[in-house]
Amino acid sequence: MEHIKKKNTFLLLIKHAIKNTWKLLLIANGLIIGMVTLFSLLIKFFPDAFGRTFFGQTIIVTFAALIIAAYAAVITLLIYTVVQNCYKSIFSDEGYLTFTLPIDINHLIFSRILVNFIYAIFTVICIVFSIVIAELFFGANLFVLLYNLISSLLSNPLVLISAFVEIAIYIIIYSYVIMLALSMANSTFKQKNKIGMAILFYFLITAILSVLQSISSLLSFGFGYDQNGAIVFSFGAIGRVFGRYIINFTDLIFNCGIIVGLHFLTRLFMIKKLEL
Amino acid sequence: MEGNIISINHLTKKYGNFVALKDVSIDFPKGQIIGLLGPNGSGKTTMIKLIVSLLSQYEGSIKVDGKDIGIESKKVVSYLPDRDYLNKSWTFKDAIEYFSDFYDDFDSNKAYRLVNELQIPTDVKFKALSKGTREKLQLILVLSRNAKVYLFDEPIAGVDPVARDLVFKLIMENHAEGSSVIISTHLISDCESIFDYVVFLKNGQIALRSSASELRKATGKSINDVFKEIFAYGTY
Repeated sequence: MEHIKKKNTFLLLIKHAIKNTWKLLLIANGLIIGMVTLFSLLIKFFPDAFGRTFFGQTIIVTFAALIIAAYAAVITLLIYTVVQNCYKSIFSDEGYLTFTLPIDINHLIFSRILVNFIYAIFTVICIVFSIVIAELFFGANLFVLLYNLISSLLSNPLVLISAFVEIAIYIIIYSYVIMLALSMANSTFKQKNKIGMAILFYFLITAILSVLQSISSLLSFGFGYDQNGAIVFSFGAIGRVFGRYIINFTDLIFNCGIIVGLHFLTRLFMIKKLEL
Repeated sequence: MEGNIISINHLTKKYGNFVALKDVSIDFPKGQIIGLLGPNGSGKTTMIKLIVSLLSQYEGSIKVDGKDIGIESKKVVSYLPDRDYLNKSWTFKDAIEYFSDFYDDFDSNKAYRLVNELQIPTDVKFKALSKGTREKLQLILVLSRNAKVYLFDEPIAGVDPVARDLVFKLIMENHAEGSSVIISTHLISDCESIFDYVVFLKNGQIALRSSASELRKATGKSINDVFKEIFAYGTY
């Protein structure tokens, strides 16, 4: 019975985290798909209207610039939502409610990480989808590089899975780094400049992680593609593969260790050091 | 009704070099309305924050309903902080859903009844409501739990004199039967009649603890007058 209750609390935390933050991101992603679709359809069905005159060309360039700006905006919005998801309900005045709920702190942390992960994957899927739409309808070179990259990923499941795992790990690690930085900033009794301190801690933690990742990359080993496209076992700088690693065991083990470490540090700061 | 709802032993809390609570030991009796009284900076909010685990770095022990501070203690404590702590993009309905989801003892019917009695709209976002209305809604949410102990941190600090009576009326009429109510305040004249028990905090230490009626009887003065004597700032 206790187990069921805990599971429900976790799901409820996810439900409320999404409910509080989904709107902006959904609208932004919807807007991107809408803009790209509209742009592509206009070009496809009215090819003569654009491109021949200065006015037509201006419209195309403006529209393309708007789409690129929209991509940048949606990535910025994703980062904003991820930070808000961690900060607002936990470390602002809303934390007075969150930290007095009868919930397991692990569930609180996991729920925020999972929601950030869902948002990031959703945004990536929307961006990829919009690029595919542009290529299918428009068929021009505007997104050709991105499209080729996506095509190559889709044609090779191993590389696709590898890329997905890499993105997933990246998102999880950086969500944890944000939460840890905020937790550390909240472990001090000083009420002023907490945001400034959190930013400082964020860069400090990422710098430490970068150094550790550089050291671990010297010892890389795993499976990858050689020059002929065959899958081979490779070890670090000695046997570097021509293409890319399909699976880099050192990175995988190192990153899993980092995630576990970040989780327990965040938990420690939230339970033992919290000073709201 | 016998026994204590909260037991604090040798509690010390420091903010850097500043000692906010110094070796405090006190028991809060069950089923009573308790006034946690003291001027600004005496340690009232710190003590309450420690009880609800918003502060984690301290020495000593705190037990709520016989349990250490944690998930089980949070299940029996209903807490109203001294600030807006609800998501401002929520409506009252959103808040009801949130409280219902996380607190088993939350009575949504009671919450709707109270909000209807006060004629507050339930589908307007908090950010569109006045500060006073938001405070009333927060009070309603806290009182709609059937908790064993209610902690109110300065519930009338920013409230006009007319609304103060309403706040105390709501608290007195709607806290769960047999529960303890702890109200921290420095505005004693407005509420001294409701206290069964009073605790005076001075410079992070217990200056006085007593049954309210016994204190009045022993001193022949109101609690407010006793408070003024203890916390006299001296002449200037």
